[in-house]
Amino acid sequence: MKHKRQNTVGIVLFLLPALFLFIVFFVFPIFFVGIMSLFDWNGITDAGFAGLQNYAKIFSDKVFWRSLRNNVIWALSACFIQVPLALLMALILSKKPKFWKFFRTVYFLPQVISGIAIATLWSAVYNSEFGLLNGILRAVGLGDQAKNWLGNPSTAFICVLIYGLFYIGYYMVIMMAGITGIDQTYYEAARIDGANVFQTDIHITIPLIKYSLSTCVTLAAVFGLRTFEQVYLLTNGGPANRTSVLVLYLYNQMRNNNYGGANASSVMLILTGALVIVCIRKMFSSRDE
Amino acid sequence: MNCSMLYDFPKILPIKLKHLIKRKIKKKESEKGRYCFMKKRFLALALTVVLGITSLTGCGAKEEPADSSAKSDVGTEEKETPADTPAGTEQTGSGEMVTLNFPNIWVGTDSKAEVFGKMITGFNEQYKGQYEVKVEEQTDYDAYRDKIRTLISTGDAPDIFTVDSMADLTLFAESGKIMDTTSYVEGNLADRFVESAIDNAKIDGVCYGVPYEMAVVPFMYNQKLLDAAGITELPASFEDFFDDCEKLKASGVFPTTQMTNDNAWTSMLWYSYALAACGGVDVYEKGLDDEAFVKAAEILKKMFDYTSSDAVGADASVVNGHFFNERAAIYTNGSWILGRIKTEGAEGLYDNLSISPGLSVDGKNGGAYVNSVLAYIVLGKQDDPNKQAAAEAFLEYITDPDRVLELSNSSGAMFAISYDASKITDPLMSEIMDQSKAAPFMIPYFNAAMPTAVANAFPSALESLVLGDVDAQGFVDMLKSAQ
Repeated sequence: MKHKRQNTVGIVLFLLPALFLFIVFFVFPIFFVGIMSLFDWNGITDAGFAGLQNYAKIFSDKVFWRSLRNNVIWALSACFIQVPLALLMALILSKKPKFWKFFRTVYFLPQVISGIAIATLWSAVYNSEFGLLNGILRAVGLGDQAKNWLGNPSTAFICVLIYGLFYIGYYMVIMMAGITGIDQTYYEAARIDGANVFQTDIHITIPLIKYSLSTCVTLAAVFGLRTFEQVYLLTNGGPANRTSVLVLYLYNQMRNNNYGGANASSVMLILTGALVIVCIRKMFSSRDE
Repeated sequence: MNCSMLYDFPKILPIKLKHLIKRKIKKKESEKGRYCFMKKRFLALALTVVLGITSLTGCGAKEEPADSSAKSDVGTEEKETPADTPAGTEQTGSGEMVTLNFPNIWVGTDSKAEVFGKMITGFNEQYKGQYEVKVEEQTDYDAYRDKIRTLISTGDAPDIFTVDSMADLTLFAESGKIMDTTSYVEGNLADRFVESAIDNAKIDGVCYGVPYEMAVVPFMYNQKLLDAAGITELPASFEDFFDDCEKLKASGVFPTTQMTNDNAWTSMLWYSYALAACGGVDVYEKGLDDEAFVKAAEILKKMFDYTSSDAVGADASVVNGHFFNERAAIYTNGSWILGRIKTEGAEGLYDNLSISPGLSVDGKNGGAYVNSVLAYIVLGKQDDPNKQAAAEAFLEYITDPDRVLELSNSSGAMFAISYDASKITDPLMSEIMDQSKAAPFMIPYFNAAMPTAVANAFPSALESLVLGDVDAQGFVDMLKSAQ
């Protein structure tokens, strides 16, 4: 009994610093954001209580709903396009074909290159006057399809999404690590039973990296919901807010010195994120059972 | 985790102390049992933490001067507590060295960077041992604005900084965290400023920001491209302007430069000129309900028929790239861009530039100039009279007419300081100054005259206008809804 009590004290002691940091840097800011979302505050002078007015304002703003919708599309595309692409690459590269290390590095490269450099590169690709994409279209006789890809409402968001989809390296590496940990005897047994590569991937590899997969899906959804950098650098939310996302929306509220509105947007972002995480956890836990 | 881990935890204690604690812990352990022992170990752990914190505090503490008499000889009163000493004030053997921090945007590739940097070095040399200005380089305007706002909201206003809009200046003044500089600019420095510059910079009769750099915005034409298109005379009205745009378009160049990204700077300036033509001198006083804002929006929309295909979504680098590389014929920007055109423009571009004031609409309001304060020098509120004196000395130094003339000549920028215009070496700048003086009226550019939220709504409203989501009235309605 005493031994158990000593262990508990020790555990608490070791947890305290992390708990302290978590409260100071996560719990308190979230609490503060929640409280300040009820105030009219320009960030400089004293705040005045505004009740739910900030929420009413953002709910009546079309740009808010468009941003939220874009975020959801972004998160879904990350989960259902980016992660499967990463899984495919992980499955191929884990079989160690020729130059697999080279390709692993290439796919991971966008993660380690500055976002500004990549955004500049993609801006140059999409530019209507001297861009690579229009150049290719003109070269193959499709010059009439050339357009201002990032300035056209029908193509801008898709172009930004495509740019985001190239960030598969992070998930690929997580899943490759998962695949490496699988006991080779499963594969030997499957081979003896006559299973081909596709069958072993479907029936052995994917089920055994389920936890890596769920981690990747969770991360992809979270990254999708908090997307800012790519949109800010490539279109700044344009044209006419067509590519706006929630973090950019709240950033613009801050630029307008409307910190109450920015905090209300943050609360909505946190709630959306929490909801998505709960859904993903539910999805994977039900499969466990 | 087990007990032995806890026992070994305070390894950072001096060995003697550790042995002492261990011995005492063992003694107590046998006497009072393990429960009591745990309490003592907790005490030892707490002692470790306290010792650690104490030693860290010791590392961070300021060194006291060996000779306590080596205190300030400025002023006669002795302050009791070091807590009263303002940050940035350092004790020296000869007196009190006052350091002013200055997050500065005029660095890097900014056309004023070189000479303004020299001015700061000169100030530091002139007041060596007494005052020092420490520059914190900032190269991104948006990030700079965010930084200043954040610092002021946290009560940590920089000693010196610049503000580029009256809306921000008013907000900062309301915070009570910036210095009232009225006594400076109406005292010793009164004669240095151009007429009415100080009056226009006042908020409720108080001058919180010293007007410094001016945005004097002419129309700039690439005469070579105009000649190639068969245009022999610069347009005087928007009607002529669009005729010339047709000719330029036919000649295979982009007639105008437009952008909608960031703050849509170039297009915002075009809109300001359209407003001057449609609404006259008091267009901003009439407010956004005035018809002039709708008419000007129609002109601006038409301009997008005569620009590059990448205008929607383009930023300043795209716009500058088109004009600097002679792909576009007509451009507008502040006079400060002349320095960059000289160094970055296509060969001969600078020599081919023609300058004109604003255009008329229906024969009215031609010849106007868009002209407003682009940078106010603002001082953070100080309790320390030495810092106030240092800030005043700095203001006096950087508003010296000869220094400002050198800054103007080197950069192409213009200032709210009276200096001998005949000494301006650049003929284009002289021409801009002459045209500006001769202008029948001047108006500020749109962003300077509007609240921050309206200025920030301009780019997306413009994109909606150009993409056909809204008409000219809808564009103005979008601006109104941002108010």
